[in-house]
Amino acid sequence: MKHKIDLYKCYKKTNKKSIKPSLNTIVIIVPIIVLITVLVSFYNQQMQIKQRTSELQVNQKYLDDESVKLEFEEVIEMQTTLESKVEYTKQLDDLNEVLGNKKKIYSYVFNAIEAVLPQEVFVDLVVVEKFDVVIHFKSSSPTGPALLARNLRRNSSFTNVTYNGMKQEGGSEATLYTGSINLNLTGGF
Amino acid sequence: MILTNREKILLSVLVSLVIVIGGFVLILSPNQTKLNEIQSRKFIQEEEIQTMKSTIESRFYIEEKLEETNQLIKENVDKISPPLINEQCELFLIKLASRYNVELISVSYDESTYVKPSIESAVDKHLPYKQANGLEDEEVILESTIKEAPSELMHKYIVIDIEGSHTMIKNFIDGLYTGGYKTMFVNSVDMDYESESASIILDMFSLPEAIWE
Repeated sequence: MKHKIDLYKCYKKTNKKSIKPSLNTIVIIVPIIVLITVLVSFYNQQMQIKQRTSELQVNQKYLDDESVKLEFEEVIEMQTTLESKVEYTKQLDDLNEVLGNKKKIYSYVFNAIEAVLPQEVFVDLVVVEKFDVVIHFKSSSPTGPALLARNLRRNSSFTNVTYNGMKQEGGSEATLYTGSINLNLTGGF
Repeated sequence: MILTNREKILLSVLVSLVIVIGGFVLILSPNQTKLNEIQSRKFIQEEEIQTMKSTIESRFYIEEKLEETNQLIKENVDKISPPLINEQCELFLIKLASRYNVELISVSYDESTYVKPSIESAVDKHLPYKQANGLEDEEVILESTIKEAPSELMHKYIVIDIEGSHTMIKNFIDGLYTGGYKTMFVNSVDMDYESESASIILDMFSLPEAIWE
């Protein structure tokens, strides 16, 4: 008697059995896999916590280092000093700007007055106070005072020239005309 | 008791869900909170360390800047007169008077006060209008403006009476600016041409001694 064997069917049958796990196995394996996943996550977290904690300790060690603290405080103090010094420099700058622009009374004020004096006029007294000037004069001629006032008015060093008039003094032999002129110096003091 | 396939699958799903939810609620979530807390502490620490490190690293730059600023302060301080010592100032005035052949009659010193130096300017505010209309010779109305420095200096008035020819007195006035007193200003001069004498008031600004030191 001759038996016919279908080899393909045999192969398929045996192969199916070996690849496909039984339902019982699957039902047990799935919760186990889930459990393992949870445990791995837990382990991973624990490892991270451990690592971060050790990093925290290293950082804290650096922060607590006395020499580092001392150096840091020293630099902070230097920084504060620098800030106050920069502020002080600014104040000195502003101070020097004001002082540098302060006008000074030089001899040129008197030279400028003397330069415009008519021949017959003599200065008695010149009072200079900041930018106010008062000139007290004597003149041997009646035209002298007016000429002086005109000359002063034409000089660019002076401004606001106020001539207050003149007065005759003395006898007929030595007649003198006296008076005063007020003016301002240009610029500031 | 024999379970059907359907029951087995449902039981497996149930157990898996219990593991996931229980694990998350009881283990993973509290751990994550702890981890987040540690991480935020670490972040704060790292920022602190970064600040400390950058501050410490800036030491060289700060030292350089301090040196520069000290130099600037020195230059600025050098532009202001040193603290005024009356007798030293008087020795300077006597030397100056002898150089310009002027007789020093009297010197008096006012009490020192702290003042903010100021510049007073007298300006004719109508001048631009007058210039535009050719009215420069019209009456000038001066209005004074004052600019004040932000900080104080020591201030003292010095009154000097001198005798000599008016040419020498003028030289003496100019000579007052040649001494070491860089912030001494002639405030007013009464020059009497007839009696050949003058009274001079000096405005002396100087650094307080504490700053000078």
